[in-house]
Amino acid sequence: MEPLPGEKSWILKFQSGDASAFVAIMNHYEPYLLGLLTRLTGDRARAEDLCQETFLKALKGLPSFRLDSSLKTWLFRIAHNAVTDQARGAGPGTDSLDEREEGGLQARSTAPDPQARLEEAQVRRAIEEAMAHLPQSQREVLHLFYWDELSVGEIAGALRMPEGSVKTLLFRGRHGLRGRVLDLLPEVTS
Amino acid sequence: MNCDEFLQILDERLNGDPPPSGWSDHAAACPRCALALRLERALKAAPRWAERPRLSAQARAEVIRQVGAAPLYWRRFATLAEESAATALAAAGIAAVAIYAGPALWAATVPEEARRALVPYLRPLSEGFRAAALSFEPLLRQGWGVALLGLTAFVVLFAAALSTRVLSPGRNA
Repeated sequence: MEPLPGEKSWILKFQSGDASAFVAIMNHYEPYLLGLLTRLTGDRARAEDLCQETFLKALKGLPSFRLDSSLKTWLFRIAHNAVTDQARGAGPGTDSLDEREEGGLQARSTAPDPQARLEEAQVRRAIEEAMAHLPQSQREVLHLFYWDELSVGEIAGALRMPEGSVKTLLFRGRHGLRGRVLDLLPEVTS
Repeated sequence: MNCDEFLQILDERLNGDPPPSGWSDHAAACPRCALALRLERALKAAPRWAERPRLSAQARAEVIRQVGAAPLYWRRFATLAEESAATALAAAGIAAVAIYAGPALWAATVPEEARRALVPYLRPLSEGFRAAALSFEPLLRQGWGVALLGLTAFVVLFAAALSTRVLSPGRNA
């Protein structure tokens, strides 16, 4: 994930009364948070509600946010808590893979020839489908690690768990994902 | 090299270790391991191909409306006040349950013998607690007394929360 240029100065601006600084922070982090929330809920509308809730909570907490902490980690923690709180209240979320990713996945292929592009798209679709079947904790850690490029330490900070637990979830998630993708693409491996 | 060894190296490589020479030759001969390797490469490239969704205009507008809703300076205190009020309410609820239902719960759940054995230790504590609770009783008979007591609890908790927030470095809610 690209850091927000001049992040600390945006926070300071906000804390000194410039409300527009919050919009700059929101513009930067919104796609990452919404991407994670969509992954975790499997439901775009619910993810939007949770993302909105995350920013409203951030808006409340940012005036007293301390600059020696990581804004990125803090925002992901709020999003994580929003999902956890909602899951407690409303039961487990849907795990189905919906139509949300398909257009995006196929449109951004970088492989040189059509056959390779097709295979690349197949693998990505299989990854998305396999991700939807992983336990939420593994899915979340994998998403933060690969999609949002957070380090193990940053994930541990965001999810408030020891680094060892993050590594274990990453290991299990990777293995689960690999097994599922290999099952989903038997024609590639035959 | 067999598949297990290949996959083990694949995992270690993800932790930053360089692969041994000739390692990827196995993938050329084994379609399953080749797919595992492609999977890892696709995951590493995920930030480039991932969809980056955006909030709907309506959801964004709601957040932006809230951004301009209250003077920023007071927001930090508003958050603390909310937390303190919720804690004060919870504390009042627990205290009420302890005062009114505590003795009955104690009698119903703890066996007679255990109660007798514990009485010498618990009596001073319960008498102190009872005396303190009774001293508030006249206040609780007045409508304004309840409000005053609630306000006092709120102020104490607010001060405690504010002190914790100020004194604990690096703490973000």
